[in-house]
Amino acid sequence: MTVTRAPPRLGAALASLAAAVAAAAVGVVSPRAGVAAVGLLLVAVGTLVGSRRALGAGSVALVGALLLAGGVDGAGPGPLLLCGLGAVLSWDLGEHAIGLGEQLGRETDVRRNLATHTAASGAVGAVGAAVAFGVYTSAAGGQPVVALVFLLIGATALVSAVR
Amino acid sequence: MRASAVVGVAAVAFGLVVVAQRGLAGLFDLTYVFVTGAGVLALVQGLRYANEARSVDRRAVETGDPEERYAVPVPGDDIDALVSTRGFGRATIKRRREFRGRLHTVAVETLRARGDYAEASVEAAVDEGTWTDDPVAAWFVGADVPSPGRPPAATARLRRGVPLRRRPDRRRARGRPHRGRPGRAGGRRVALAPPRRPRAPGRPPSARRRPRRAPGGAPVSDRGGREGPRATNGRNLVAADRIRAKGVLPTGRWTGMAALALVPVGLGVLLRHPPLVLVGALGVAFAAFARGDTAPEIDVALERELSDPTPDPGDTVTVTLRVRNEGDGVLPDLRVVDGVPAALAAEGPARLGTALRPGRTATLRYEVTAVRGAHEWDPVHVLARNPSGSRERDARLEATGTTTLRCTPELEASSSLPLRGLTTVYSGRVPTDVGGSGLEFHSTREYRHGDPAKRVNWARYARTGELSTLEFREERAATVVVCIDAREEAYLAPDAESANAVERSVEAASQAVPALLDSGDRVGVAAFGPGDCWLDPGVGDDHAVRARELLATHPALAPTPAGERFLPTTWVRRFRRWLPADAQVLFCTPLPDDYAVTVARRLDAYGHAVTVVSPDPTADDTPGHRLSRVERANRVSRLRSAGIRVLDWGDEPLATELERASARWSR
Repeated sequence: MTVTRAPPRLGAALASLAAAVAAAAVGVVSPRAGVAAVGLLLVAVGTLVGSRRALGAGSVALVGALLLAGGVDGAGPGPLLLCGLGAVLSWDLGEHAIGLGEQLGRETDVRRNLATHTAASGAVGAVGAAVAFGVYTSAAGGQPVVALVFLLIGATALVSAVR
Repeated sequence: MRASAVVGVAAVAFGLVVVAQRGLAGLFDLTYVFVTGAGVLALVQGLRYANEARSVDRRAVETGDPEERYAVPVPGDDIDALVSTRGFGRATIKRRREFRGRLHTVAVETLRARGDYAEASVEAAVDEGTWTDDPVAAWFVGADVPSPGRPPAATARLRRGVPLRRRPDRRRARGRPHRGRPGRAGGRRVALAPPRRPRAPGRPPSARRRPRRAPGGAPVSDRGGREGPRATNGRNLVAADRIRAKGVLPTGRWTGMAALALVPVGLGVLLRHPPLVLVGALGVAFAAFARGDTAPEIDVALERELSDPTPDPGDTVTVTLRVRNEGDGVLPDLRVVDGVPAALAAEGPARLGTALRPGRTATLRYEVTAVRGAHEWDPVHVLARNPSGSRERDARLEATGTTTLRCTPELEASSSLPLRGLTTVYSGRVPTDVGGSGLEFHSTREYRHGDPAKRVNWARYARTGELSTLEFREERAATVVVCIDAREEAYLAPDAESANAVERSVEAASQAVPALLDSGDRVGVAAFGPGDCWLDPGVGDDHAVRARELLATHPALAPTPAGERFLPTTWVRRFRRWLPADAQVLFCTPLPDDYAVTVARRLDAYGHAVTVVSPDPTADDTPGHRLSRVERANRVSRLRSAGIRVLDWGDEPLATELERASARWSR
């Protein structure tokens, strides 16, 4: 037999699920849910056929919907974090599934691998989001500008360093 | 980069301190302009990263297709490739001219074999184009035929039946049209008419397993970290090596994450919307996750087990591969591709994607169908990634346990093989032209003193009173060397599902050897190919066992080509020295080229009566395949006209073909 070099269906489903969560989180609070729906569609198609380009465009569309919801509609931190988490996970899980499809094919048993990867990425995202949300709620309101500036400069420099 | 990290840590620390101790804020009197500036900086930097991520080269180690059987080419694939090549390079034009010459030769030979023209006038007929009604064909093959007006039409028509070269490997043609009586259709298709179907699905010219391209477009090394280059069963695992840490490949899948960290932050600051800044924290978390992850060490033990290491042909063997994590760390992403031998086809995927805690074992199970030969498993391709998948390590590791499957078919005697009249002095079952004692009437002669009384022609004596003696054909034993064409050129098959010509040649030999041994002939075996495969002629049960073992498992007769260098002329010289003077040769060859014909004729000329058993590997679905079929038919008729017996073995069982042939052949 020849293995089908396409993403395993379970992996594609997980990526689409993450994208659906992101789209739903934005859709609830923002009238601009159309962008998120396009993103969801692209993620689903990209992971089904194994196209990184479509998947990447879908995840970027989800992030775009997030920026629109936050910047234009003034969505709150909860939906934004959830949407961001969903967008990142849709890329991560989708790309992982595409890679599995290329190396192992659709017929191969990869459930354990998928479960482990999903758990690891989900945990990182959840912890990151929780910490950020915690800091935000505990220090809400009236922060000195200086703190913001230094946090900002620090974040930029750190991201450039670890990128 | 180190400096910016230090600055970053310091700035974040100071910012947090200011959050706690608000009084410190008075130290800096910063305006909103400054904040906006920082926001713009973050946004611009983020957009830069996003832009970089667009053109990033995402890479992964490629895995092969061990589940597939080694695919051999169809005769004529090279012609199809040539016909579908466009361009006007010097080499291309030269090859096209050679191809035209080849067509010319084929046309002449075919017409000569059909006997439509007198020996001398064939060349003239082809050159002048009077042999066909088709003006394009006449012009294309002939020398002094005027152009029919639209010269490109010929090439276009030839091309129409040819599969495009860039077709993907995996879409193989299924259900080809049933092959008719092969080798006889030589004369009918000389005009190379376009096929009815506009474009037959098919394989590109050399349908070996070829490395796939990486998704990013860069060819990625297929070579493991620990195992060196290795040519196994004709498959060369070596690919271009890239410069990278030994066995570790950065996959680049998180490249865009820095943009997610910075763009929302910048935007949030500019729009004065703090929740957006929070999203940036998520980006930072993932970027750090990907960055801080190191490549895992592959420390696994592999053990393979076969449900039956010595099966019969056609049996299904279950292969169990156990992967055990011997290291101290978790392997969160482990991918295993077993190295199924090239000649075996796996029924399910021989791969596994899993995660392994230290000391745990994962099991991969799949089934293979046994075919003749000794098949050794290739090393297992093991790939491991870190939890974020940012780095990948690959290695090719040998598994312990059973790594060889030996499949030795029983030798089954077919119906007796008609041999030619070259015999030894010992009595056997080959009827000769020598009169003496035997079964079949030969002649009568005058009675000589001492002739046995039972051979006296008593009926004649009663009639005339004269004594005369009956003579019968003496039956003697022959020495037969079965020679199998196992050159790389002979590995040909009409489609992906069929047995290749070498496998069929070995099958013919496996039927001929016991039949000959049973009838008391001395039998030897030799392979016309790389790898020394000689079995001196002999008789007896021990010899039969040796022959069986040799035919089943000798590497020179493996179902896949060995890929070694081979010098045919040297081989023929050695073969002649080795061959007993009174030996007949049973030459099993698909007649893939003219050299096989030369060998047969030369051996015949040296006095070793040659019989050719030729399995037909040709197909007729594309112009190239058809041309090869015609060429092979011409070779067969050339051999026959030289007085060599040829058994053209098509789709039917060998016994049927033998029966038909022996009715045709005279002694």
